[in-house]
Amino acid sequence: MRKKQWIACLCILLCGGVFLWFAQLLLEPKYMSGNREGAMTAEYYSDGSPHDVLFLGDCEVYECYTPPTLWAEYGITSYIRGTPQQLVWHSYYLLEETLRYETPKAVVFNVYAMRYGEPQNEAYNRIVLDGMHFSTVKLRAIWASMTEEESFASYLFPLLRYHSRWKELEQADFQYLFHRDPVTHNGYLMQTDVVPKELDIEGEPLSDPALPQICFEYLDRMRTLCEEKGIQLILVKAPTNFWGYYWYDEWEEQIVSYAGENDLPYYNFIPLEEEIGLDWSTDTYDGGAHLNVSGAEKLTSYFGKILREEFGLEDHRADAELSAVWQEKCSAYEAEKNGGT
Amino acid sequence: MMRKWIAILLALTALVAFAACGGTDPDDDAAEAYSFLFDGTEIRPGDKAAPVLEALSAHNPQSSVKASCLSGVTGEDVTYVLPGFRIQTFRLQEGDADEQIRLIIFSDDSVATREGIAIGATAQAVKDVYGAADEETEFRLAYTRGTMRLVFGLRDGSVTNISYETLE
Amino acid sequence: MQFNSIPFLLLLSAALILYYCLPGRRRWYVLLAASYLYYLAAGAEYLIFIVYTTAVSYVTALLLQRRADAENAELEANRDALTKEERKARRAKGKKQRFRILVGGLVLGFGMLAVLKYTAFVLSGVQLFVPSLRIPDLLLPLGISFYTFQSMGYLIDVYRGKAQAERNPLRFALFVSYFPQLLQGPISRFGDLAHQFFEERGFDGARFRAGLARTVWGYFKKMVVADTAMIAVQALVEQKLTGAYVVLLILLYSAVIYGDFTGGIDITIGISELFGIRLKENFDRPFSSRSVKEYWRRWHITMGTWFTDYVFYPLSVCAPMQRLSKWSRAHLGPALGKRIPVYIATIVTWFLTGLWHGAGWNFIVWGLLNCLCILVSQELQPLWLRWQAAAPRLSSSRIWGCWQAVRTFLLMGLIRSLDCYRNVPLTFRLWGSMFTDFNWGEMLGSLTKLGLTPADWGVLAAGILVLFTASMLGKREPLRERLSRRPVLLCVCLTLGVIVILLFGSYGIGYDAGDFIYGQF
Repeated sequence: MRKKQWIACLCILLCGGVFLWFAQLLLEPKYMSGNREGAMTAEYYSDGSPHDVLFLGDCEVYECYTPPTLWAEYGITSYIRGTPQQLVWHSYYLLEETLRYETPKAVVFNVYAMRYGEPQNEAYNRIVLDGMHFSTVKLRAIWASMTEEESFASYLFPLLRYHSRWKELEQADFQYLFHRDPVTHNGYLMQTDVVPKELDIEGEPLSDPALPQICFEYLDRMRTLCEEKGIQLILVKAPTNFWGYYWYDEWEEQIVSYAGENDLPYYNFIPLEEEIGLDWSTDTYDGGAHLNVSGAEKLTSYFGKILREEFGLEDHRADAELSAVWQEKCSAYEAEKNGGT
Repeated sequence: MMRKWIAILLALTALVAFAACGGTDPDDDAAEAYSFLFDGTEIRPGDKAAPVLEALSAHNPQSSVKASCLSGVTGEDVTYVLPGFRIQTFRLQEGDADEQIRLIIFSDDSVATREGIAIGATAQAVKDVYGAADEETEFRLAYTRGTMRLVFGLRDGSVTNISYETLE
Repeated sequence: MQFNSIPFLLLLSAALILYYCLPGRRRWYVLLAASYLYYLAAGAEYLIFIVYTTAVSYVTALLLQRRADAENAELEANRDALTKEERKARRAKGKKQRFRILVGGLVLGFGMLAVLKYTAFVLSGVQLFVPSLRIPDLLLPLGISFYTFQSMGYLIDVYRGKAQAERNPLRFALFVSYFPQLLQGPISRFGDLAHQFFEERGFDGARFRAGLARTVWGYFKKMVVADTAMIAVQALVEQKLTGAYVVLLILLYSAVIYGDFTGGIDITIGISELFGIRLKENFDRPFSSRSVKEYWRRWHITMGTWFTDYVFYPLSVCAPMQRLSKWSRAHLGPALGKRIPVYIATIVTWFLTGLWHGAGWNFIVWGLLNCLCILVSQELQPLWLRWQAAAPRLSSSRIWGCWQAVRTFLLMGLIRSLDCYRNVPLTFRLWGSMFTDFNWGEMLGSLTKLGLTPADWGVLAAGILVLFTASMLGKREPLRERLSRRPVLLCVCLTLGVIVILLFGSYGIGYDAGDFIYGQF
C-alpha cells in the first residue's frame, strides 16, 4: 500500500472510532427519569467542594441521611456515595476511588450490605460501576463485582452492553448526550410520599446466620484504608427494620463483636427510633422499608449531634465560600421538598 | 506384534471412553410434597396465591409490599399476615393473576405442620417424625420434596421457626 | 470459546502478532499452541479426546506407511526374482494386511466418536424394551465430528497412497487441531492443508486484506442476520405454531443456517487467510441451486466430498457390492440391476450423513429425505429431458431457472425444519398444517410477538437484502477479492461493517442464540 492509502485508511479508522464513541454516548442509559439511581455514582464528580463526611451504602444510606440538613443544623459538609443494593466491595472501591479526590474526616458505612456475600444482579452492578470514572480502581471493582453472565469488555466499552438501545432511543438520550442534571442532593435521593408502616413483622427465617466472610474481608480493607489516611470509620444501621430488609439479632451480634474487636464506633438506630423521634405513620414512603424526607431529616438531625459531639466535626458555616455553595444546595433541596424539582 | 498394538490401543480407548462418563444422579423419588393445612385450606409453596387468599379471606389477612430498591424494576414481594403464620408471595404488580406463593412462615406455636410439629418442638422430635434431613446443620433441618422444601430453624436444639419454601 | 467473544479475539490477535514476529519455519508452533489453548478454553476435560484421536491416527498412519514402504522395498529388491503373478500376490497380501491396520485405526477413531455421540441415542431405543436401563451422561468433546472425520480421511488417504504419513507428531497434531476449523469445518484433506502450515512464505498484504474482509463479512452474517432471525425461530419452535408459522420458520431458519454456517466458514477461511493459509471453500452460492443434487454440490461441500470419496465410492466398488450388482443384473434385469448397488450406496451414504449431523431420528430422516429427493429426481430425469426437448425456450429461460431455484430453496428449507423441531412425528404434523391452517393474517399480525421488535425485523430484512445483493454482485468474482485490490474502499467497508455489527448484532446479555449451530456436531 502506498503512503497516501495508509493515511486515508488511518483517517477512516479514526472517523469510525469517533462515530462509535458518539454512538456509545448516545446509547448509554441516561437515568434522568425512571431509574434515577443510575445517575448517582457519576454525580459525585461534579461536586468539587470538600466533604468532611462520606456516607457509603445502599438505599438505607441515600434515603435516610440528608446532607443539606447536616449542613443547615451543624455546618458539617457531607456526601452520600450510595447506590441501590450497594455491596460491601462496591463500598470499598468507591471509598478507595473517592480518596483520590479528597480525604474526608469520617466515613459512615451502613452495615446492612454485610448480608450479601456474592454478586447479586447485573443491574445493580451497572448502576455502581458505569458511573465511575475510568481508573485502576474501577477495573478492580469490575473484576470483583461481575456476575457470571457479564463480560469485562462490556464495562470497558459500554456500547457492547447497550448497543440494542438504538431501538428505544428517547429525547432524553439526545438531550443528555454530554451532561446530566443532578438527581440528588449531595447523594440524597429525596422521597416525599407518605405510606405509613402498618405491619411490624420479622423477616423470613435465616438458613445460615453467619455473615459472609468475604464481607468482613472487605470491611477490614475499608478499616485499614481509613486508618492509613487518618479517617474515622463509623458503622451504622439505619432505623428501618422492615420484614423485607430485616436486620437479624444474629447479624447484630456479629457486627457488635467486630466493632468491639476493632475499636470502631457502631450505631444501630433501630432501638432508638423513639429517641430519634420517628413516627412510622408519617416518616416513611413505602410502608416502613425506607424513610421519606421527613424521617431522613429527623435521623440526620440526631446523627449530626453525634458527629459533632462524639467526633468533633467542624462547623463550617463561617466559611464564606462553603456557605455560598451550600446555600445553593439547600435552596434546591427546599424547593424539591416543597413540591418543585 | 500387530495384535499387541491393537490390544494396547483398544485398552487405551476403553480407558479414555470411561473418562467421558459423567453419570446422572438418580432422580429423587417424586414423593408427595409437604403442604400446610389451615382452616381446611391446603397451602403449598409454588401454588397460585389468589385461590388461597380467597379461601382465607375470613381471617382478614393484612398485607405489606416490599418493593425493589430500584424504582424502575417490576415485581414485588408481598407478605400476608394470618393467625399464627404468614404467606409471602411474588407478583409483577397488584392484581397479577399469577401471584405465586413463595414462602409460608410460622410466626408462633399456635399452628403446627400436618405432621404435628410446632415452634418449640425439639430437633429430635422433628427427626422422629420426618426422618433424616436432606440438609442438617446446627441451625436447621431441611427436607426437600421435588420443588419445595420444609425447613425447621433450630436454636440450642429447639425449633425456633418453621417455613415451607418453593425452590422454583 | 465462541468466535464472537472477546477472549477469542484476544487469542487471535496475540497469535497473529506472534506468528508474524517469528521466522517462517517456526510459525507453525504458534498455530499449534493457539489451537490447543483454544481447545483448553472449551474445557480441559475435552483435551484427552482430541489427543487420543491424534495419537490413534498418527500411529496407524505410520504403521500403514511403514508397511507400504517395506512392501515396496521388498518388491524392488526382489524385482528380478519374482514373476508377475508372484508380485501381484504379494501386493494383494500386503494390501490385505494394510487394510486390517486401516480398519483397526478407523474402528478406534470412529469408535470413540460413536461411543460419545451415539450411546445415548442407541440406549434410548433399547430403553423402550428395558425401561430400567440407565442412560449414561457422556461428555461430547468440542468439534469431535469434524476432527474425527478429518483424521480418518487422512488415514484412508495414507492407505490409498494419496498422502505420506506425517512423522512429526506435533506437525500432525496441528493438522488435527487447527483451531479455526475445529468448530464448523471445513473438513480439510491432509494433502491440501498440511504443507501450508510449514511453508515459509512472506507476508501477503492483499491476502491479509481479503482475509480481514472475509472475517468481518462472516461476523456480519452470523451476528446481524443469523442470531437475529434465531430469536424468532426459537419462539416458533417453542410454541409449536402451525400453518403459516411453519412457512415463516422455513424461511427464517434458512436465513439462520445460511448466516450461521456460511458466516462461520467465512470467519474460519478469513482467519486462515490472515495466517496466509487457504482452506477449501465450503459453500458456493447454495441458494441459487436448481436441484437438490446441485444444492449438495454447493452446500457444505467438504462434507459432501468426504462422504462421496470415503463412503459412497468405496461402497459402490467394494467386492460385495460388485457381487450384488452381478446378481441383480442377472435376476432383476439390466435396468433395475444396475440401479440397486448405486441406490443402496446412496441410501447408506445419506443415512450416515444424517447420523453425522446428530444422534437423533430427526437427523436420520433428514438424511433419508434428501436421499429420496435425489433418487426420485434421478428416476424422473428421462421425463425432464423429454420436457426440455418439447419446450426448449421455456426450460432454458431465466423464469424457469428462478422457479427451479425457489422450488429447491423451499424444498431444502422444508426438510431442514426437522433440525428445528427435533421430533419426526411433530414435524410431519406441522408440515401437514401448512395445508390445513390458513392463518396467514394472524401470522403477519403476530410478527412482533416472536421476540423481535419492528426495528429488529427491519434490521433482519436489510441484512438479508445485503446478503442477496452481495451474492448477485459476486457471481463472477467475490466482492472481497475485488475489494482487496482497493485498500481504501476496503477500509471503508470494513469500518462500516464493524459499526453495523456492533450496533445491530444480536449479542451480549439477553441474547442466547450466540452459539454456532454446527458447533454441536
